[in-house]
Amino acid sequence: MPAAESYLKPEVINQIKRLDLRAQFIVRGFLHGLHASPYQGFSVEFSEHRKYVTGDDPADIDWLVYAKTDKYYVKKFEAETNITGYLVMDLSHSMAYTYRQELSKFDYAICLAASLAYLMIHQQDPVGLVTFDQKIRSSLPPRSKRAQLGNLLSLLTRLEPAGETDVANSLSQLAAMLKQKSLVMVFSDLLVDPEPVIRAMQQLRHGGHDVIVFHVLDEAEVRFPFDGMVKFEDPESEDVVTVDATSFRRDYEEELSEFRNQYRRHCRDNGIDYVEIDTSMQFDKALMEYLLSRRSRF
Amino acid sequence: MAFVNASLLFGGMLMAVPIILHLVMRQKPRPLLFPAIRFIQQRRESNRRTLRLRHWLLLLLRALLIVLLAAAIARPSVDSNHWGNWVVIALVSLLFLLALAATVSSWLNARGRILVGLLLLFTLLLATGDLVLMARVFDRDGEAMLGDQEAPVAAVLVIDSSQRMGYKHENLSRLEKVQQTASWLVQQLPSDSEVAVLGSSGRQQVFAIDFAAARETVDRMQLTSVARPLADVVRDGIDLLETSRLPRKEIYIFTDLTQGAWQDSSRLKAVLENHADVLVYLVDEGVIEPVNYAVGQVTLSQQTLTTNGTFQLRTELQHIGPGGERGVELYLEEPDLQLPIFQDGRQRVPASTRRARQHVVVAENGREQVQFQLQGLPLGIHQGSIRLVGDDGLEIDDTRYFTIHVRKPWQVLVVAPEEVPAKFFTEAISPFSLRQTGQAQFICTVVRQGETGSQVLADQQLEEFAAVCLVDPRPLAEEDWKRLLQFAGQGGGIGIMLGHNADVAGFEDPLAQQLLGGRLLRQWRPAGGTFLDPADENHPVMSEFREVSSSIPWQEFPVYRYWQLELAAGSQQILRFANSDHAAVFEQRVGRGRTITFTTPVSEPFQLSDRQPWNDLVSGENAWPYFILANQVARQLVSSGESRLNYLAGETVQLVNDPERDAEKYQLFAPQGEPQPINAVEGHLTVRFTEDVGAYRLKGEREGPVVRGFSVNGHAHQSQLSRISIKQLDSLLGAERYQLARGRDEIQFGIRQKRLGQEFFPLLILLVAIVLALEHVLANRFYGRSSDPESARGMVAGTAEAP
Repeated sequence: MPAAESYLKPEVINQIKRLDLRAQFIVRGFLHGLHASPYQGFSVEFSEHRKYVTGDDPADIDWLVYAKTDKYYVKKFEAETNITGYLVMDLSHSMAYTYRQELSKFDYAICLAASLAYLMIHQQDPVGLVTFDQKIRSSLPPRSKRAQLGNLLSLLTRLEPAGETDVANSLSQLAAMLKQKSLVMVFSDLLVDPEPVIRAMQQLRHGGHDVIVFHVLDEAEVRFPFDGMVKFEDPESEDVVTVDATSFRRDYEEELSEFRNQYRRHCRDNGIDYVEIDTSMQFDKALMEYLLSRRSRF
Repeated sequence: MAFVNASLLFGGMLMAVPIILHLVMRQKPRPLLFPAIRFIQQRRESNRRTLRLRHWLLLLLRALLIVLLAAAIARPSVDSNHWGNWVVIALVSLLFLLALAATVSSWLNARGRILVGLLLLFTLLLATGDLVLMARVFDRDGEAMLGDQEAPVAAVLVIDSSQRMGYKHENLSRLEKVQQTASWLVQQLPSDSEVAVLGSSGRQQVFAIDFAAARETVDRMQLTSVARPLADVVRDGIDLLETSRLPRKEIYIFTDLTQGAWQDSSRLKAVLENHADVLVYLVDEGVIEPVNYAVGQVTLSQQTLTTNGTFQLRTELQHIGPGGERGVELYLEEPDLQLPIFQDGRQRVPASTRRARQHVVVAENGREQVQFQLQGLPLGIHQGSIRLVGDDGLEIDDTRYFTIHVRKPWQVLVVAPEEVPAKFFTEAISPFSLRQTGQAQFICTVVRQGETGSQVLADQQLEEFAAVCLVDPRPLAEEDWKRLLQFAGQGGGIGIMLGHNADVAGFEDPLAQQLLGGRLLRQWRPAGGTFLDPADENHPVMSEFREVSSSIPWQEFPVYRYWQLELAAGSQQILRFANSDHAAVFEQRVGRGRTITFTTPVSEPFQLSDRQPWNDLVSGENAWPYFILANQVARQLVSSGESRLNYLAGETVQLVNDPERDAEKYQLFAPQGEPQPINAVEGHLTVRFTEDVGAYRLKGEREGPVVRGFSVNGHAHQSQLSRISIKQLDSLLGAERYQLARGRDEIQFGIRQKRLGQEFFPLLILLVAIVLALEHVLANRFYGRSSDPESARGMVAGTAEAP
């Protein structure tokens, strides 16, 4: 596997401490794996020239510029409309959980968010950040300037998951807040009652927003790799349940898939992209989902 | 039920281990933070219930597994007779397990209550049935010792060594075959065993010193003509076994399984039931489809006959097999007073010449009568044989021997008053025509009796006569009674035919009563007359009537008057008067001789001038019954001095030896071996050892060489080669009481089965395997991972490549 693509693995990216580098590496790795440049075809109007990088279609090389400067430049096209993206981070305590992975759900979501921000800033799409627990905690308004990336990343780095969460309420709040039609990307483990959350999402959709839900779960929460008698404790509510994990695995899996199915069904019905992610997965799945979603808008 | 390793049953206690582990060593739950707890909470209750049931089911299976394993390595076995019952129990147990599993499973899957209830009921029924069956089998389990195959045993080998075992098949007689097998079997016995070998001659009845001695006894065993019934030998064997202190007792019966071997075995079943601890093995060395021709027992019309007399030999050709034809020949030895002699270790006997031959065709498993007639034999003892032409499997019954004695006619003194027509009697026993041709058996001398009390026998030499017949006598003088008594005491025969000349007072003399065998009471005149009626069909006098006994027209010869007698003890009725118990003809032994008394005369003419005749015995039309009766009585009277000449093997031979006439010392030439000296004792020659069949000869000296002889034949059952059926054997020995084996493999298998019983090991191991598999399947089902992590990952990778 080429070095760039290995950055798509959570355990590799964990070795890089700086979030900006992490985002950069993830996006590079992601782009490296694609045969065609993801930027191609998004805009039709020429805006400026850009240095040729590997992965760009050689057909886009502006040979006139090459003749003048002896350097490769590709023609860059400006999108007709820019997408305003909102990265919506769940700050609940449960997001800090991991059982045996390098990255907690929160870390994973941060990496993902950073990468997306990176991608979007490079697209010159304005991107903002909203964090919530019981309600919206902080927000960074969307900008498309390069400096925005730095602000965004530094904010992300400082985030700490803590306390209980109320996803539905926070999303309703967000829906009320957003004036412009935007792409809302929610990063959450959604470990709350699904019905209010779904209603809040519908609310967002009614506001004309595109919604991508990144349902981030820990690998252990998906696989249930426990054996023997286990006393499970909820970090948020501190509820305690003791079961024989081995025999319970199937029940757990059924329960989880029912939960996910519920979301999947409602999301499909409402035109929401629902992405099931667990922390053992490579980042590209989430990124690809974003790109597909973006493409579908044009 | 017995166990090879009973102590290993304690291993069953290990089943406590999983139970203790289950109850005591409960796992302490591991605390773990887990945000997705909401997925657990909802199903916790149903999961816990299911889990508990699964645990108990698995616990049950694991405990069962340990119990079964312990039971299996303890190697239980049961008497193979009860094996069937145990298999049924095992099947019911298996059904019970399955039903139990089905019940639990339906309960776990929360099926309808009715279904679970029905299954539970069925399971309980099966469990009850199983327990009842087990209780019954344990109740009936025999006392037979089971267990280690190599523990010493007390074994008795009963070998049928009767002549029948001489049947040859594949160039081996049955006995030789048995010897091979028995010798091999002795080697197979566990060391330190006690072993005894019993043959049909049944002499040795102790345990052999060691195996070598036992094998030697087996090797030395010979066929015997005097075979005791197999059942008796078996009984001896069991008695012998009971004297042994070894707990394990076995009896091996080597037999050809023929009808002949197992006749008279009806009491054996009870004996075997009383000795349930004795294992019985039946070793079959017989031939499945024997083929044999046999000459049956020889019947002689008479064994003593007079000069020029005719005699008939009757026998039959008996056949077992598909049918066929054979020649039967009659041989007779040429009389030679110089022979036999013992020369160069060999007996030289007179040469036999063939006198007749018949060709006989017999049907499948049939028999055909064969008859020979001989006449004009010279005086003396004649020995002969009837032989089968050609060989067959069993040699012993191919030849039958016979001995006849030809002598001068018997002298009979007939005493009758002057007016009594004695000729009716004399002509009957010695007809004129036979006298003319010299074939008459009797020569009669008639003397006339004077007035009552006058001596009539004074000038008669009674020793010259074989019998004296008093025909309608008057009372005799005391001197005459004395002489007659003396005559009878020395072996003479006296016939007294009472008639109208007798009177009660005249026969009151004690001497007369002694001779008569009774006391005259009165003349009896039955209303309408009566007739003779046989009282003892088996009496020798009646032998000629036997074949036509139902068609003798006695009632055509009425008796109007007779003397009623009070019979003395020891008198034997031969004929009586119909519808009464009054004796008509009776016999009494006096000393070595005998008297035969008629209570109605035998000399009554058809018409009398002065009185009514007493009967129509003589005067009736076609009076053949009288003719035969008179002859038979006369022969019976003269036979006191005659000896029986034809015997069966094993019988004690007794020949009359008159010191006046015969030699005192003889040499006995048995068919085999050297001659033995034999002396007459008290007028008799007694030969006790008659085990060999054939012609026996006695050679003595009295005014020149004297040769006498007799014949010994084998018993009829020695030719009964037809096979006995298993059903018959079951009824004789008790079904499942014995182990039948043919050939060494079957013997070994049978021994193993009987000694060890039927083993449960394979069945238990099968059950262990089933329980183990069940446990494995259930455990996997309960705790197995439903989805493979690898495949889940693969699915994600697939999605990534899609665009």
